[in-house]
Amino acid sequence: MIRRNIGDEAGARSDGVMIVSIIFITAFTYIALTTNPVYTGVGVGDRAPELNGQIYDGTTWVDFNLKDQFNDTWSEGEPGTYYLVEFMDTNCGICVSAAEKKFTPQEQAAWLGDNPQRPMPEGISVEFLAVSISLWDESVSGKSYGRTVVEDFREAYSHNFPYMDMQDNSHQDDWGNFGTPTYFLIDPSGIIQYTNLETPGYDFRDALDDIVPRGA
Amino acid sequence: MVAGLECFDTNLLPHLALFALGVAMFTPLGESLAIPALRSKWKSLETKLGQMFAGMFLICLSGFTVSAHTLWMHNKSQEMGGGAFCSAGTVCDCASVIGNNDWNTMPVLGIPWGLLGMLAFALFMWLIISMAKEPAASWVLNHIKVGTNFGIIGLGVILYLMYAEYEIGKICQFCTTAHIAHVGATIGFFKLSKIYGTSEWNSGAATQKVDVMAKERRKRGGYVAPKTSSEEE
Repeated sequence: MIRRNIGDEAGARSDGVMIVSIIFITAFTYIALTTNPVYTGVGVGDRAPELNGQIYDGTTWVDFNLKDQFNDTWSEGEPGTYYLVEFMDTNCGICVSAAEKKFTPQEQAAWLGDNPQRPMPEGISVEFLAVSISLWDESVSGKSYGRTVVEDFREAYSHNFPYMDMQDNSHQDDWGNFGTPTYFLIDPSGIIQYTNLETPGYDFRDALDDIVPRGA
Repeated sequence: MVAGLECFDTNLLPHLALFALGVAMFTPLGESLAIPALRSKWKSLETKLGQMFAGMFLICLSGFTVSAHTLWMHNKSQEMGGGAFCSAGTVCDCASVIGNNDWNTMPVLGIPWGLLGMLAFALFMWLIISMAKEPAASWVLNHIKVGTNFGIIGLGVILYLMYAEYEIGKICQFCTTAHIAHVGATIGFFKLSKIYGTSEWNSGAATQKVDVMAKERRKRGGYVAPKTSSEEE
């Protein structure tokens, strides 16, 4: 005859599970309700990774750290600067086309400078930053790299925003490996609000217009 | 500031209080701490074994709460992009340790160290609670072995984290408290394995058995089921 197991041994272990689960869930709920972590990455909603190097502002090469441009505690309604970061290659046909057709003098005048044509709230501004990376090796015929190439490229298309020299591709550790042109629109707190990696058909100019607040 | 106190953070007090209470339960002071009100609620506190279980539970609870605190700080640092949460001393600075993205998560898995600590101490608490409830059970020795082995593995993890602190050049008091709690729990498991099977263990286990029978009687409202003649034999 099969006798009913009346031992309490299993009960002790399941009681333990219940008690520990309650403690664990309580602690986890408290943490979940009181924190809102933002992780560093290249997706929309992520904190933009580190990006520092030398930029050419039209006259000289100077040190630049993208993180220094942001205010971690910024919130909507406060003054701040949105950054449009373009990863490009001076030898990439689509980047050349974008430099000519998308970053036109009219487009730059609409967003950049002290008095942009596009109406914006008091204290809100937009900056562009082109990051020159290298998709090929200089040994490949027809591909040339170097700072003079970057300077000439900027001059050729009358760009009045800075170009960063990242031709050693050292950004790849933090930003990953992607093609060009790749755009990121970063808000004044350093959070990525747009990237064409996630929405390929959504142009960065439309994203700028949609995301950057409009003034009177 | 008094020399040596620059590393002290008042936020550590609740964790340290739990830890100190847990350690005290191992000492002769445990006898006095197990006041009658507590003994009437938890009969096992009357024995040395029960006091040891209570002490280990409190030590693990302190490790759990301080790990949860470090996870909270980790999340806050990710939310704010860095910041200062502890006393901003030259050596003791949790923000520099927990906010350091190169070291603040487990290699390969990528989970924050605080969460790993919470899971480890939750496991320890489960092992201890189940043993405290049923010290004479067949699986108790397995629980002690699991606790001891995880304790030893954890010591390796602690060494790695100490190396991380050395590399960063800062010490996080909260992490150190969790490390101390882990070492305390590991020592506790070694002590349990030492007394397992001895008269000290068996007398504690016997008290627990009576406790279980009394609980069963209460559950039935005092009703004692009649036995058949065959059962009585």
